[in-house]
Amino acid sequence: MSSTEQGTSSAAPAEPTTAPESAAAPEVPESFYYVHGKDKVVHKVSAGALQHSALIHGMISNLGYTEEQAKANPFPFENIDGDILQMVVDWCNQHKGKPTPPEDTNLPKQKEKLFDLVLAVNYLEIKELLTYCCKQVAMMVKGKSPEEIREIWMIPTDAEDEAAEKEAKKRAGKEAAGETAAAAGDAK
Amino acid sequence: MTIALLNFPSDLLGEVFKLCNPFELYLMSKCSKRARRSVTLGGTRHWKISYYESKNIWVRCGEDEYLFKHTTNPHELYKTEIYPFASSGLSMFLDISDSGDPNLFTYLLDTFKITIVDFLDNDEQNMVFFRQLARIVIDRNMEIERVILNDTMNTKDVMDFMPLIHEMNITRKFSCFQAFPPNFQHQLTQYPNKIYISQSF
Repeated sequence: MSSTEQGTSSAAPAEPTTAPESAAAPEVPESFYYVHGKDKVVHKVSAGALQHSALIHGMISNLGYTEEQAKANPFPFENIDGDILQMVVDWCNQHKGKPTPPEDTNLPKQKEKLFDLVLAVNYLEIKELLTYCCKQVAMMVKGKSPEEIREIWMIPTDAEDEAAEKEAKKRAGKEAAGETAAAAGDAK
Repeated sequence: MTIALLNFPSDLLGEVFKLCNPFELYLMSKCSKRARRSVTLGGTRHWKISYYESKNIWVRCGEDEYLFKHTTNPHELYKTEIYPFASSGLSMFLDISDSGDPNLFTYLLDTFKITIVDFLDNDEQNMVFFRQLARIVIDRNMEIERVILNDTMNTKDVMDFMPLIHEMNITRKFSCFQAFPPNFQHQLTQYPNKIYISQSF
């Protein structure tokens, strides 16, 4: 199992803010969990950082893993690209134990990945990050004309939609015909 | 940067639409039939619509006010600006007809699933257009919170309009400033919370 260090290293800047608290109260060792995306690269993330994800938080609560069990069984998110999961993990670490400000400047910078990021964040149920990502998407069309909006949000024209629909129907018809022929062949 | 918005699952589309104002949603709805359907299905805000002047239509949600304004200048088209007389209003210029555009009115009703008319006011005395709007809201059995009939120079036009007032579902206030002939009688069948009839003598 390979493990990236981003989870723990990104969490480091948060430590000074928690230091006075830990001086006052006896320090409880932080538990860590492991997640991996499509690329199978395992990310070590603290339970505190994972609180942001309602999905993972629910999984942790339901499974009641010990640290060893968590290490042996990283949460698999096969539908999320590795680099996207990395962005999400980084964000969770940066915002560990902190409320998210309305204008979050720590949003992952790779805007070309925004589509996949929004889908991942929606799947992982990270409400604050989802709101911020959606705001970014909405901001893309501020002050734009319908033609510009069509281009930015990649909205097909009616003719393109109709052509795609016809194509899909044709394909479905061919597939259905193929299945019928195969079933008839099996029957013989 | 581009993003294939319509490939988002519908709940996610709804999240994005919640952060868009009616102008952005209107312009998006104009991109294609599918885009319009998405806006209609994904919209969850409770917009209200108002009509004050034949050239302009307001859409409101709480304190937020958005004015769809008439323009003939192609350079102004789709431009937005802060509306000077509203506390939190924005206006956008569209190539709507300067004698009123019932098509825009019904388009907004359908696209934003608007069921409440905030305000109807015959401010510019365009009774033909006002009559068209009244017929639309009556046929759709919409709730109309406030109606103002201002005094026009053409009493007959307003008298002809009055049967429509009786069909309207006005809930909060009906104000009438029209001077009618002495033998005229209002025949309201539904009663809003407040009725103000000026020049009733």
